[in-house]
Amino acid sequence: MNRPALPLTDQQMRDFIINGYIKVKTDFPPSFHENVYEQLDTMFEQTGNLGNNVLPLIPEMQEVFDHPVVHGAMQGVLGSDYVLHPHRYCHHNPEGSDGQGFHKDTYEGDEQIRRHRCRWTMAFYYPQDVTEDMGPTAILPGSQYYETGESAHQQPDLSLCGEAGTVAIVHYDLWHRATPNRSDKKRYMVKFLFSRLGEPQTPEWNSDTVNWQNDEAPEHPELWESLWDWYYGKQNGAANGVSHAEVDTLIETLDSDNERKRLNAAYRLGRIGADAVPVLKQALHGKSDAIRNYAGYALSLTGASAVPILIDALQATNDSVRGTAAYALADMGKTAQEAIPMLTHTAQDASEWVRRHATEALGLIGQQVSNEMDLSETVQVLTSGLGDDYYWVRDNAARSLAKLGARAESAIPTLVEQLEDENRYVRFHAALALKQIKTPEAQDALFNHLFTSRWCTITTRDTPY
Amino acid sequence: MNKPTLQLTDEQMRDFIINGYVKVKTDFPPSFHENICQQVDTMFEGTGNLGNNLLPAIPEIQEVFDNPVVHGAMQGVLGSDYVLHPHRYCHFNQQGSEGQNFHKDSYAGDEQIRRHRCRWTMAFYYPQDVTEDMGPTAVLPGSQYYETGESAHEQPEVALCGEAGTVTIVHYDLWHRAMPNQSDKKRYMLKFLFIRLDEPQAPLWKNDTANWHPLSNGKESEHPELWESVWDWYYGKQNGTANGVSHNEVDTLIKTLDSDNEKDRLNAAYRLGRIGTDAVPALNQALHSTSATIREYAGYALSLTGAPAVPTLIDALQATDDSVRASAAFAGADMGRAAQEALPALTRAAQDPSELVRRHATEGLGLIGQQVSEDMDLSETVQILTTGLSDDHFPVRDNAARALAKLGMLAEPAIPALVAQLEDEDRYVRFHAAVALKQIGTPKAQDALFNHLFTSRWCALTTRDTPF
Repeated sequence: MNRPALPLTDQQMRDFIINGYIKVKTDFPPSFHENVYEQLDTMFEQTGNLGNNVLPLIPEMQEVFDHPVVHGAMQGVLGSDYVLHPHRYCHHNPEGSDGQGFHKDTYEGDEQIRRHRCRWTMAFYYPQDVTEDMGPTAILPGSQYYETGESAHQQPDLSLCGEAGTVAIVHYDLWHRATPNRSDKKRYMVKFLFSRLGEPQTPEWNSDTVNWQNDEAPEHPELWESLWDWYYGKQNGAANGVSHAEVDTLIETLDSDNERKRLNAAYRLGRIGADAVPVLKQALHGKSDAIRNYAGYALSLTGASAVPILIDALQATNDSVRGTAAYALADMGKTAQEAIPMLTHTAQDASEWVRRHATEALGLIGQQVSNEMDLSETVQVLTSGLGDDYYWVRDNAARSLAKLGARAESAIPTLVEQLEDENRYVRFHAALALKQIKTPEAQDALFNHLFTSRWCTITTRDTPY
Repeated sequence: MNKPTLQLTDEQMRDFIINGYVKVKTDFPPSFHENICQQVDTMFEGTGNLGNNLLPAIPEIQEVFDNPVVHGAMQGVLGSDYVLHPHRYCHFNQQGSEGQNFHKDSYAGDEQIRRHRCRWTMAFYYPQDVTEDMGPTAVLPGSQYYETGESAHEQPEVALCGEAGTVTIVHYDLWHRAMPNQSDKKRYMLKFLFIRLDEPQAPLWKNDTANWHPLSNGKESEHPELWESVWDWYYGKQNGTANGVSHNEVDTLIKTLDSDNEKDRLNAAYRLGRIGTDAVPALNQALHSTSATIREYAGYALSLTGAPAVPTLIDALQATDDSVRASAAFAGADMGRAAQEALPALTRAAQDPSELVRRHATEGLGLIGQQVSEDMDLSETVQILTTGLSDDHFPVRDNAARALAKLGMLAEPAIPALVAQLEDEDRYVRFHAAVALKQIGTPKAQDALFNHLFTSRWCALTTRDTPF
């Protein structure tokens, strides 16, 4: 996508890493948003809420996301080849509503362990001015890293007010809600999802400073820095001189009642390197799923020296251990290159939960490995994954094939079939994979699908041709 | 499109050239068509007839046209690069209906002089069995070449009955109608339009015989020279072989262009068109006639004459009378590559004050331009076509977009204007701008097109009852 982009600044990226959102304002004339607003009115009156089809119905909304300020911000947080996800929804907050409770969204049908590295965002677009009394979306800044409402609610709540054309981009896992609408005006918020395709190589914002810096907020310095480094494409793993005694304390802290402490302990452990691996391995194989989870974050951050024990863990008897190991390797990216053969095996695991994480990992890691590495078996297993009984395995398989691009060429016939998968998201991701594969055969099949699916928005029952 | 195809035979192509239709039968199981019927029922009950949006709402219908027997037949009559046009319509013939009168369809908003060379077709698809009493579509075979109902009605009516999955492909100009539905069953017929993108180079059917010969059914040869010229066109042969007509006969033929009998006019035009240089002066005079009919038939003859007629047509593009310039542009366009040297004059004519001249010249630039030799500089032509994308008259914009599509990669400088016309106020221009971007095929064009298509991508599973 070579559209003009207004890139973010270092300060804006730091703010996004800490607080999990960024608010921008497009500069369309008011008539642009009035037109979108009227078309939404018409949709609700005539057909009801058409859900995901709101975009083909009102394609002008695409222009909001093509706007340099939105596109630039999205590039900063999701990389240059991010994808507009097929789930989108117009949230109608009517006059006098009670609003919602704070929540994280689920991934569509997903129970996935939350990732701290930002591979999914949501964008909230207001097609009308929204004041505090009109039931704006509210967020808990910084809460994207918290699983528990307890931690999340310690953050001060922030209403996202703004004029028509305001777009807030949030980390997918940020806690949010619709606030009560006490006004006599309805409020639309059109929510769109975006997903990352490539792993970061270099900063895609106006970056002046290579190293993380932050003097204001003290809560999670090592977590934040690790994300900054990830955005920079830096490999992590620098030891930070933690003593053996501290390692023991940190491991104990993974089981603390305080979620913030657990997080900090995991990220501190992840920077020790080889010395912390034996105890993290123990934690990975322990009885507690919560501890295992945090050990997974730490091992993923540890990088190369943790890869062998994660490969071993892919063969553990416990599903949850295998799933966490696959997850940790996936998050590691290229560093986990040598795990590809075992992950390829694991993508055929008996446990659906393990298959989905391994399937995702094959895309995240596979897209970064050197060209000499033979991925033909991996592509073959991902192709089989397109016919898995569980749709999220199929969905991850399609997205992983998209990430592998031209190397996934042999999957074309199966991807073409899955354009008619019973699940609508698998259909979309199969189309995306064909786009990324890019051979003439893939493009022909994709154009055939897309021209067939092309909705003409000025064609209605009242003006059918 | 590398889909499997079942090609037509020589006999089927001859039949299509003469009678203007070919009927094929897909081999889907009955459940396939029942599913489509039910979805069409749901559409009429739920939203009403969605017109052109029928296909994204029920994308399974595409499979009918991807079926090897349909795709193969379509390739035969429209070439391998044919395009599914954005106009399509579900014709609902209700129980007890009185049916329609015979008619030719108009081109969407178009008053174009009818072309005999087949660049547009319609396909009629039945998603249920249709018997004679259920109000099938009927055609007048051979009437695609006739302007007048009088000539058309001399042809015997044929009711297109058939089982679910029957697809009839017809020349766009074939006279047709819905028959009265005397049964107690409703009848759906889904009409789709298709257009040719490239001019024929070689036969795209199972071809054994290079030369035209009539059908082996002993049927009277009404238009042998017309039919042969169409066959030769499909073969990519340049026409213009002299046929030894005497000077006296030229005069008679010219007079016949004004006959009351349409069939005689047609035959005279096609006979004149095969004389070559000797007929050009008389045809030139006829082209400047005040009679629209004579001009039109002179145009067919000049177009068929080929190279020796080109200078005359170039001159006529500068005539003071709009309709002479338009006829000249039309004839030049139909000629294809033989009119290569008319390209600069047509490029000027594409900026003519007359909208009718602009639209024919614009179309000609695509038809001829796509066939010219690689060393010919088309940059000015592309520039004028790009300007045409914002013409006040939508048929000119539509033709400009299709002409750019035909030029393919050569049209690369038009990309920004084409992207802008993806939001043209006219829905057909939008579509043809998208086709042009597809044909240009550069990464920049493809990026813009994918952005448009993914935005417009309707999910048929997503409804108000299951919004995500």
